[in-house]
Amino acid sequence: MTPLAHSRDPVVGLDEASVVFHGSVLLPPVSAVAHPGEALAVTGGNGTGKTTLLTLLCGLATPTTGTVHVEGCVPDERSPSFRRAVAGMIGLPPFARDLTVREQLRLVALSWSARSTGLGTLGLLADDWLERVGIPHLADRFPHELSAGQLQLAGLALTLIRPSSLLVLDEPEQRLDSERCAHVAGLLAALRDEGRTLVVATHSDDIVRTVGTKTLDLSSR
Amino acid sequence: MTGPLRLPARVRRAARPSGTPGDRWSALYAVAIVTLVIGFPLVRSGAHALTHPEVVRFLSDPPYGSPSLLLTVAVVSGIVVGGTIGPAVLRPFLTVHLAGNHLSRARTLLRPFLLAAAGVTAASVLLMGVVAWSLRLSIGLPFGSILVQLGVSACAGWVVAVAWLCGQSLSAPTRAISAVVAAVIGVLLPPVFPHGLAADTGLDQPSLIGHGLAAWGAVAVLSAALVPWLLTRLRGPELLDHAQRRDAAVAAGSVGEVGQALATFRPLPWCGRRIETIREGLPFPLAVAYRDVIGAMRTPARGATALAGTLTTALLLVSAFALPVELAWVSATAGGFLGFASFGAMSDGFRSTVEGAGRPRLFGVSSASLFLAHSVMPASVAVLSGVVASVVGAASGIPFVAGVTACVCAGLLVLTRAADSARGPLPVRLLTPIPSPLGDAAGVRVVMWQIEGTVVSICVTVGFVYAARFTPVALAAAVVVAVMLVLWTARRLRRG
Repeated sequence: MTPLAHSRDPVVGLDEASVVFHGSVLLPPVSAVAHPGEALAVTGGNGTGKTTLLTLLCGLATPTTGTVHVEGCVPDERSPSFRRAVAGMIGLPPFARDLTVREQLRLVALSWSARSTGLGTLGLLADDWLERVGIPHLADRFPHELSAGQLQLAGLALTLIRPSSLLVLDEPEQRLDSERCAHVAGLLAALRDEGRTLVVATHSDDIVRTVGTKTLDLSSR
Repeated sequence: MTGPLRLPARVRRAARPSGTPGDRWSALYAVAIVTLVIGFPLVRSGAHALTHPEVVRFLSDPPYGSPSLLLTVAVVSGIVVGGTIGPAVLRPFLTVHLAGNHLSRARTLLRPFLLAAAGVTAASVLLMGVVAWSLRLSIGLPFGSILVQLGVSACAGWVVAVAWLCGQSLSAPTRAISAVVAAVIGVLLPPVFPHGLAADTGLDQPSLIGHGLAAWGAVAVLSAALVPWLLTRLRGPELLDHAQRRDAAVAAGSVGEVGQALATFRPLPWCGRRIETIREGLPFPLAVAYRDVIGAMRTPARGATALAGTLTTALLLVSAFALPVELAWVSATAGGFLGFASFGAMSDGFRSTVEGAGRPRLFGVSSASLFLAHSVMPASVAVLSGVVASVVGAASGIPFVAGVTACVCAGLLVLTRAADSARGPLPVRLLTPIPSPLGDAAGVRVVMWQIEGTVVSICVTVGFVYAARFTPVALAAAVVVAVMLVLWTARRLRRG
């Protein structure tokens, strides 16, 4: 699987994909595409299927009907190339209780790029992402020393530090005040402009307005 | 203004809206019945089981200093455990409204402490009672001696309870220093029963009875004098933290989630955040192992206890080869239990990996590779403990196969821990009621699910100790067991 950041083939392709579980419709049939540098904002009330749609894109579930493609392939969590292509945050990622925020970022970065980087570069990379997310002052904190909002930002940094061509985020505004929410919206817009494809489920008008280049409203289905 | 003498009772009543005097009597009745119908026969059969000549010889003349060592371990454990869950703990509501009022905590927290101390003391007396009973049955130990030993064990239990409170009231660094000091004092002080349990009762020297009891009584009184001071030292936020943890643990335990209940008592990291943890030049598995070591050092008491536990496990397994064949299972069982518990403190990486297994990928390696990387540290500790125990065993004249068995069992305990970490939450299907003549039998399934790791560990240690005593070639079966444990873990990871 090759990165498609410079091609115009869609990174995400949904064609009448739906999920039915034990007779209950978790996700009604939806169709959408997202190209490199585009952001698909998924909106809708609680229980309309936003998170289910994201789990399809992350390869954590399979559609009952229709098709889902990521970079032209069927999402398969077991495929290393798929795992490299898709970064997702659905709920908080697992934190190591005995590592500081900065160390967690370095460990995740090390697992992806140990051989290609020189000594000390992962520390700089971690500092850069802490800065971009707006929590450089929390670098030396353990997870239990963070508030809910700070954990959300740390989780976002963990998700963003790993390489990906598609970012799948479930309500990144959760637990954040309006100022932090606006900051995150600006960061996601910047990532989109750098060429990453984003699929973001959100209840925040700010994120829809600032980040989304397309909107998929599941309430209307 | 409400009188200070009446307030605690009213607050207590308010905190127990559903409690009635009838409930209390019912509980008392249930305890009495269970004690008479189950407890007493168990103790009796335990005492009878210890009357084997080899066992009696061991109990009446244990290795020099071993009872003192046992007491030292209990005191140090009390100090360490006190930092996570202390004896003076009320429910969160009472902690806020009773321990947070104008009354001295020496008074408001005395009752829960005394209840906890009574439990420890009773356990100590019960343990000594079983031993004394078996000695009475086998060698006719006089009542006077039995009373002396029960008195000493009661005092020892009380001292352990005060050490527990001491651990609760101290800050983390002071607690660590106190545990080391207590361990050193315990090793340096003369043995509790210098001439063995039967010989130390002063039968041949009646004056020793008075002296021994007086000494222990003095220690107990001195430690009791410390209790009010220790209670007033307790800090409100920590009291509330302990209370909330205990509440969460009780809630989780009552629905069968024992693992989750125990997780609430895991100490949080508090030191060493400036230590370089991520080594960029190392291969990823070694970088993870290094990070696991530093991570364990950030909860020093937990890390040190786990290390001591694994070492003790290996020593217990080696010593099982020096014991009479009728007693080897005791040492092997203790080793299996302690080993499983100790490796639990080194399984944070396993648990973290399982937690992330069903979520979008965070690390650039598969869950299986991450699991493997996190197993390097506990496996190294297992081998190290086995080697140390082998050397100690060889120096004591214990056959070499004992050390090999200890290494093999320690390695298998790590694999058992890995499999246990990967099992996930309690499956709901286990809670489906199973009607039986004795009531709902679903609880048995839940209990079996909860203790499967412990059972497997004990089966491994007891099985391999006896198999290796029979023929060392039997240790080759460890490969089969290891493969089965790995497949079991892999299956759980795939499912998870």
